[in-house]
Amino acid sequence: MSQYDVVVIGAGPGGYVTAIRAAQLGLKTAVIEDSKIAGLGGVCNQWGCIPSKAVLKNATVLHTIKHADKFGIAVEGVTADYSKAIDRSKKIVDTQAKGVGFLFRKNKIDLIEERGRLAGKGKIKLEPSGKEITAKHIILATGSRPRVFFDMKADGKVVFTAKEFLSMRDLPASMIVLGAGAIGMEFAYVLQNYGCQVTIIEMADRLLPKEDPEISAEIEKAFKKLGVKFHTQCKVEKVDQKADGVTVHVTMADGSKQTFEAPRLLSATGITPNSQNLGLEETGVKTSPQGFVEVDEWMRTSVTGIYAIGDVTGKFPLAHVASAQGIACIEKIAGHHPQPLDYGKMPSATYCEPQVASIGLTEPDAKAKGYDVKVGKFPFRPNGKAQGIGEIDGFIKFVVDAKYGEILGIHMVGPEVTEILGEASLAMNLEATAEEVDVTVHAHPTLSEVFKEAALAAVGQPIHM
Amino acid sequence: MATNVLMPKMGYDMTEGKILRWLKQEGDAVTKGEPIAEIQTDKVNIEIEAFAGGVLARILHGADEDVPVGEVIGIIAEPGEKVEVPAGSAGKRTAAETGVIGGTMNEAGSGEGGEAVAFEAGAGSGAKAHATVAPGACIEEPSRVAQANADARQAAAGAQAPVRGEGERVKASPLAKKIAADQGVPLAEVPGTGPGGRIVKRDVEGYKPVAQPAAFVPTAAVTEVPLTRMRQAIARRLSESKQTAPHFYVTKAIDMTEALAFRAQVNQTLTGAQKVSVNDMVIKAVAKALKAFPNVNASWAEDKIVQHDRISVGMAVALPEGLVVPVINDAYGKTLSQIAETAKDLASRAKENRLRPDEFSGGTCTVSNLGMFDVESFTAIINPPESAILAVGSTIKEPVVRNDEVVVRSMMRITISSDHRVIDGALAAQFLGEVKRLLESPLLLVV
Repeated sequence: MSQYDVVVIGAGPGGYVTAIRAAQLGLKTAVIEDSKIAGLGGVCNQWGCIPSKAVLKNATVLHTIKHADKFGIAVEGVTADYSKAIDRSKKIVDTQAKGVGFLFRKNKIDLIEERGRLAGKGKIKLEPSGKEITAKHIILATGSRPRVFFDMKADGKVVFTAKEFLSMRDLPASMIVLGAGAIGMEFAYVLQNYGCQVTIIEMADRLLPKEDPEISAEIEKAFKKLGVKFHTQCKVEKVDQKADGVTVHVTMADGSKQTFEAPRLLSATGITPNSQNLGLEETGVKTSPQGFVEVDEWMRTSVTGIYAIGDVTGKFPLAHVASAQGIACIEKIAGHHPQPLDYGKMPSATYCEPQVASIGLTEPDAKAKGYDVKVGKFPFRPNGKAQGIGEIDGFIKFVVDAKYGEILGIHMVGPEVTEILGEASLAMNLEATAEEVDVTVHAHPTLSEVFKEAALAAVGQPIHM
Repeated sequence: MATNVLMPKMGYDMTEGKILRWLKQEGDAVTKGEPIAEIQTDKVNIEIEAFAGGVLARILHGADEDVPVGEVIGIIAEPGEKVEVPAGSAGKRTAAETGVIGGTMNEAGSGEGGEAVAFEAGAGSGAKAHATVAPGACIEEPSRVAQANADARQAAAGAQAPVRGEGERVKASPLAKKIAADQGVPLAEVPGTGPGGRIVKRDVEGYKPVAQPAAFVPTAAVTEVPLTRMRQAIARRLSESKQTAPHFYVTKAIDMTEALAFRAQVNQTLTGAQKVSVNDMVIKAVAKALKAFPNVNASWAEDKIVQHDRISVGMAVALPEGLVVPVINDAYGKTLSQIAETAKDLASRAKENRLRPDEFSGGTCTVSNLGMFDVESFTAIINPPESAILAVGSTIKEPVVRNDEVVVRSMMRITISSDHRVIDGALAAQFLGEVKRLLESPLLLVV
């Protein structure tokens, strides 16, 4: 029977990062990952963050070529084989997965390619081998999977979730996208650019409903221009899933009934935790009614020695949050003094064009919390770099507390804003105020000058307005 | 003509006293020199005598009230004289000191303006005037404000790890700095919980000044012991000493064999209170050593070092409720038997709370002896404004090497605590060496 200090169940961005840190801290570590379920890197690498970025790049390249005339470049006879985009993404996935495997070997982490199930305190039963291993600390990093409603079945023929979508090698003439969150929006952008007519159906009153309303408005403008059809405040009554397509029955915002038909449908309506078949109940690990594992600030579950990180905790289902939770969790276990996570300062990004990136409170949320809110906003249009690269749509918006200039939230829509997001995170985590951002010299010409100007707009008068 | 009765200052560090009880009531006749009230200071209970004869016309502070030194507590007048209740000396005092105090308060980071003490004049006879103090008002003496901050620092240090070392950079987020500046929070005193001990917003918002450490919530399992003035004084003064004076310690083992023999010999001829104790000999040795090392017989005075002409050695006397340090004035000029007599008298009166104020002030060095408690050695905290204190252990028979032979000698260890601002290591060692030389050749104590 193998004995470990730490066993992590799941090799996604939460689990594998945690395992590496555990090994670095001198703990004997194993990771259990059933390659039939996901593989190294988890959903993030296999059919999430990584392959979608590859496919999105294809879409933006295609978009640039289609609009090459604005650079005075005439391009004729363009053909775009979507299956090549998928092939390219698969290669990247394999490279990344191998990278994780390499890091495991380098850090002497045992990879156990089975399924793990809690078998009492400190014990894990492996399936199918039936072997048992013990660990002083067990970290559940089993993640989540797409949540599919309306009795649909994600068959990869008519109905798709992100997982099936990233293996779909051909494109239909049209596709319905249920849900206008990050995943729905990114794939809608890919499809529309490749010539597949997209119709987005969203329950909330706007696209990207978790973002600041002004961001949603800007992205709606862009999607309209792109040719994406979308309907908000829709109540889906039922979906007929047939062999050759779907019919979606919707009660529209105005109360009228409408049906939408398409050969395929992408369901992007949230996640559900992978907390079944883990032996949680038998071991006494408490879960929420939705099945998320309940954890405290150091990711400890209700059972001593068992921890949970990432999507399965339902805290903030993003890869980087899972990694951060895992690092805090394992450093605490190792007796270090990590900082507790501030879930109010977690960045999030959406990779359609223009990109969307944000952190912290939206303007309405900040007001609802009682802050005396000041807003600083600056568009990309006057920015020299934006003009140069030909991407002038979008803006950066600072939401600050009037009294001390405390940055409550930063909301960005525009070119490469996901790469400016790091500066926003740093500013908020270091508790810089809008003033410090303003007095920080930003290189010219860069898109990040807009970031500085937006901060300045919040505390004074921007220069280039 | 009316005469004000003031809260007397009994000792350099007394800042306020408590009125235990009035021995006279308003309207009572008093004669000059007659005790009229009893007050409690940090160290003793004493009676206040009338400086003038007449009638006790007004009592301005009743029993159990703490009154700052120098404040009017009562008024003696001629019989029939109309007495103006002073908008008085207390008000003037505060006003006069506001400038100084205000400065201190600002340094201490208080944003409150100094509202002067407002006296409510008693309209009718017998009406007691009382002071009303606005929140944050500057009624406290500068030293006490500073002390309050020192207390806060110390309490904070006790509650958790020290906030940060002397001279260590205060790391704080820009937001934390802004909030602190706006709200008058002294950043240097805020423990930081951010990465690397950085002070972040939550630390400033969660910072509680002075009151925080005192806000100890008793559980059912504790007994609360109210603080006596003496306990308060010990806590305040010794905390201040240990925090402000950089202490260092030098220990020497002293061969007391000869001294014990000498003592036995002289005590055969001396009687009663004149009989000499080991402690008396230590005091005498210290007094003589101080004469030889005037730079030890000195005090730190911020911008200078003051060397004292007088050589007065304090001796720590344990009391059930704490300790006092009566002083043997001019210990250098006193013979051993005079020191013995004085020490016995002071110790016995200290235990009865009957010391005069001048008997526990003015020391230039202190001897603290725990020899009677079978203590090998210990370190003591300097009694400010002195610069050194000697901690005397028990005299114990021990095997020691003399001329390459192991012999049994009576050994006693003395540890000197020195204020490094005044005394350096070599000096402390030399001074203690002189004490050792005197005690090991005890005849030197009488020549």
